[in-house]
Amino acid sequence: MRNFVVRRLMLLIPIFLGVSILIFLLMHFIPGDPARLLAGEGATPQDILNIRQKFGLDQPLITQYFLFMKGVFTGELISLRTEAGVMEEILPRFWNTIQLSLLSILISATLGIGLGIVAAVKRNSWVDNLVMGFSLFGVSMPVFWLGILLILLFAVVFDWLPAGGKGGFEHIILPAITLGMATSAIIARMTRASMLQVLSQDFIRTADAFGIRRNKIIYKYALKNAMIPVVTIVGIQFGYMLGGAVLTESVFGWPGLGRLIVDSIFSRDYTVVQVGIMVIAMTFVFVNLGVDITYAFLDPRIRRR
Amino acid sequence: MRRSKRADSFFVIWRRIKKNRMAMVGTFIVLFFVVLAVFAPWVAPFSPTEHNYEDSLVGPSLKHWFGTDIYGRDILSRVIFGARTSLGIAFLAVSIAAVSGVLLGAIAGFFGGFWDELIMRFFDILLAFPDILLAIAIIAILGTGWFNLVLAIAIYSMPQFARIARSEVVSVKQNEYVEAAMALGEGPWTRLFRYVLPNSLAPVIIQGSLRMATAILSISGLGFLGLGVKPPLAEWGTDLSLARTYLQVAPHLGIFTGLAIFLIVMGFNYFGDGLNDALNPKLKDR
Repeated sequence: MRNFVVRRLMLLIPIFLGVSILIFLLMHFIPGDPARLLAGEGATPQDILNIRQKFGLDQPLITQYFLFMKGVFTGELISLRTEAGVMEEILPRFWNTIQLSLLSILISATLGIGLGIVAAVKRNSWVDNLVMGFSLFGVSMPVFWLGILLILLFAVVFDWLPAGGKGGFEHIILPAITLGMATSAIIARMTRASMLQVLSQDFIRTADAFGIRRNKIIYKYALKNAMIPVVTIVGIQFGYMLGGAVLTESVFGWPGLGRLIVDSIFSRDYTVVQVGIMVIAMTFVFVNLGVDITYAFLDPRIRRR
Repeated sequence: MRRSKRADSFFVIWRRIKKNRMAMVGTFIVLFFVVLAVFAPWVAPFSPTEHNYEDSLVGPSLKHWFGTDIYGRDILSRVIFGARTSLGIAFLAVSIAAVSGVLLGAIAGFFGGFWDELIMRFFDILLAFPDILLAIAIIAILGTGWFNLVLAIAIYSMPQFARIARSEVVSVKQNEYVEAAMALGEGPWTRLFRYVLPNSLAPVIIQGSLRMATAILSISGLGFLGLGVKPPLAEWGTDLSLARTYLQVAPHLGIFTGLAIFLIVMGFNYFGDGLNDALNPKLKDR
């Protein structure tokens, strides 16, 4: 197991390098001179020269990359718009995105696993059709439209919940449901498929022949085995939520990291865009690593590959 | 001879799709929107871009079936022309992603070794960006506009096609007929393009249909964020973003445009699922 974890950690190094180089190069592909952009309108050639020296933009590209990475890790990199440290801007917003994603994954895993089990146990019945219908409905629903419909219903018509912003617990309910809808559909589908596969195996038939109660077979023997791929999909979906939350955040005015990145694109605050995207991408990679390790822990066959 | 065999297999697949109710519903929805998109100028009752402030924010009526937006533009006409924008951009982006992704994935899978490592590790880096984020990053560099949208969506859809093509090619290239072709003295490129690739395409086609659904969601998602096509071009996501602002006074703005996105995405998902059942009958219960 330790070897497996070490091997997976080593694989992270090239991915991390690749992601950081790609994001660093973003700045250089942007049309126009970043120093001029930083200096703002009406800057003198001397101002631009000063900025070029201050941010190391007169250095060779490779030196600039190391300066950029040093800035990320030491927190010296500053937002072009507010001149505050980039990390000071990003971390509180990232925490908001994590809160939203955590509640969403909790809702969607509970709903998705529940529905998936019912659909598999009642295979080919109307319940199964209903769950599969819900599953296709969920993945086809644009999150921003679902958000708008929920606002119309629960904020405009019934006036039960706030239409947006951040405050008490009631503010997070609609965004969490919106963000979790597609995920619950995917989890339901995966749970159903996995349960069906396990239920068709010999050991289940043997348990059945021994006269063990159906409920015990389903919830004790089948479910345990069926959960391995489901745990994986829940983890991967959580990673996707961190990046995909931007649309939900926009509908509900939730001050998350995705929204900060999009706002920073409009205000041309490229350091925030770069570091924000890097934070999300690296978290995504780490979440996937966590999923892989959990998977290997649950299923010993994986470790030997 | 070869052509008639191909036609035969097409009819077999079509017969299987016809038996699958969901796939037929999907086919019908997709065709409906394609017809709308192609004949938009003849079908739409009004110009999608013309402002008419006298009719601003009017609810659904006989004159304007889906009502009007803040500028008095007919929403039905914008939904119809929006189909053109979404389907056009999605089709272009998915085609570019499919051709380049399949080509690179097939080369990686067929030749293995250095090329495999190089190509697939590059795609691993692209896959480290979750969901729509990579498209957002690309738009941040290139700027908004329909062509940049095509590129952004093509780039972030490419790794999926490459992965599928690679894994198919790796398994198909081990077949005896490929070995036989090598024994007959056929070169590697001929073996890849004539024998391996044509037999690896079924999952790519299914992926293509499902990717159309994702691409349409991404186009409207980016439009909703203000990173889509440039106004006044009719685009569903941009229109929904406008709707969000006036939801309290004109709730009808939030209904029809979203319904159009939902229906077409569902159409492609149903069609893709049906196609999957038709091409892989063994996987039907999965």
